[in-house]
Amino acid sequence: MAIKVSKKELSLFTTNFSFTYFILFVFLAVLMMFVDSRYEYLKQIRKDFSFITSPLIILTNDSINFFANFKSLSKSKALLEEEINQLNIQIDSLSIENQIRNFLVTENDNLRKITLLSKKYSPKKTYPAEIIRPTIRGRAQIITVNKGKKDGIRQGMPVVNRLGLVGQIYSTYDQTSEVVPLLSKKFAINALQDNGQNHAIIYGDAEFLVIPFFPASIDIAPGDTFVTSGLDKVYPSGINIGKVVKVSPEDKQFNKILLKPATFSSQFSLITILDY
Amino acid sequence: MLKKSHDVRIRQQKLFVVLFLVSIFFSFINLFSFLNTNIYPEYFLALMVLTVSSNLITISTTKVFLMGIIVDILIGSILGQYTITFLLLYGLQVFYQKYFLMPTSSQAILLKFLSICLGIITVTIISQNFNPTFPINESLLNYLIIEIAITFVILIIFQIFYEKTYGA
Repeated sequence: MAIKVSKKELSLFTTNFSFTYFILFVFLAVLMMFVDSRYEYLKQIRKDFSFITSPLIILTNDSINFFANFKSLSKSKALLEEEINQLNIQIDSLSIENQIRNFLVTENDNLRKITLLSKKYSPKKTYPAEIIRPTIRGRAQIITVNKGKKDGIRQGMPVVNRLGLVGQIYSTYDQTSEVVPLLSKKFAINALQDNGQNHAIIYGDAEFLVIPFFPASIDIAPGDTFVTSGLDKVYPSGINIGKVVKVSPEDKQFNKILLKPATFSSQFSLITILDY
Repeated sequence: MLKKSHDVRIRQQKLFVVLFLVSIFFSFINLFSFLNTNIYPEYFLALMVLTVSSNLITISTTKVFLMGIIVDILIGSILGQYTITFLLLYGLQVFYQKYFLMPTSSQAILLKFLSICLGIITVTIISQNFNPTFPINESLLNYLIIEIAITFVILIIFQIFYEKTYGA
């Protein structure tokens, strides 16, 4: 005897799965991606949900700190004394360098007054901060620091460490902030060659920093250094950005310059945020 | 399909919550960063594949969509990245269950592997377009192979925990 099968049972999906809903949700997801790529809503949503993510960040860092503290307990006294001696030597050499710097700053100010140049601005305030977890979000490498809005951190502040420029504050939450690193494709900065002669705009390009069009008539060689120019009034002048590693001709008129950043965020856990 | 007892279902729901929290924790920590390598295992993808293939919790399109949004807020490069990936995985699973009933264990593992591949490729394509710090130091193929392998290992670990929910 033939078994009568209802039309519904013959349809592609006989579970409670609705194909219409599925297509609708896929369409919604694509729409969300389109809207977010255009208006960057995700950043705002993350800010609004920071009350959920902040405890997660604290929990993650506390557990890592616990293991780090446990490891440091096993350090011998002799090793610590040796470290203190090294730091004292470093402090001595830095204070000598600082005395010379102070003299140069005063001299520079006086010369600027005489030649009627505008005043060179230095940071109003500095905020020492520590790089904490997460250092990734999905596949994006991010730099999260333990200072946020409550500490006076604002979007756009420059971030440096003792080797050079690390990046710029990209978004701020109550207790943490995120830094966009130099190598991010979103990064661009006005730079000056350290001989004080040539200006260029440097872009982040994932692996290296890049000056896409540098006039071929200007001599430049691997090893030359670029520093912040200060012209953009975002970064103070004279901070190390990176060193030229490759000069390749783009066409007859321009060269493409690749630079290695002076510092990577992974090199140090301590950074300084400048209020400039 | 085997009927799950009430106790097993409760245990599996608890396991899902624990694995979700573990995924958040390890996604934030990235154990591989200690080895200075650009490897980012997709814990959430592994969890999602396990959830849809083993019915870890009762799943529906709406739940998959909401889970995708939550994961996007936590770790997504762009809103909708994980949402669309999870929906595609769910769609693949439903399609597979419709046409390939009663798979052997090796077929089930192959399907999970294929789901992981699809998920990783989708997430990578979206990341490559919208993530300014996408790691491209090595070749994309090597990157995909490593990602798929590690995520699959994580899925196997999750699967072991899942199977233990029946054991007790």
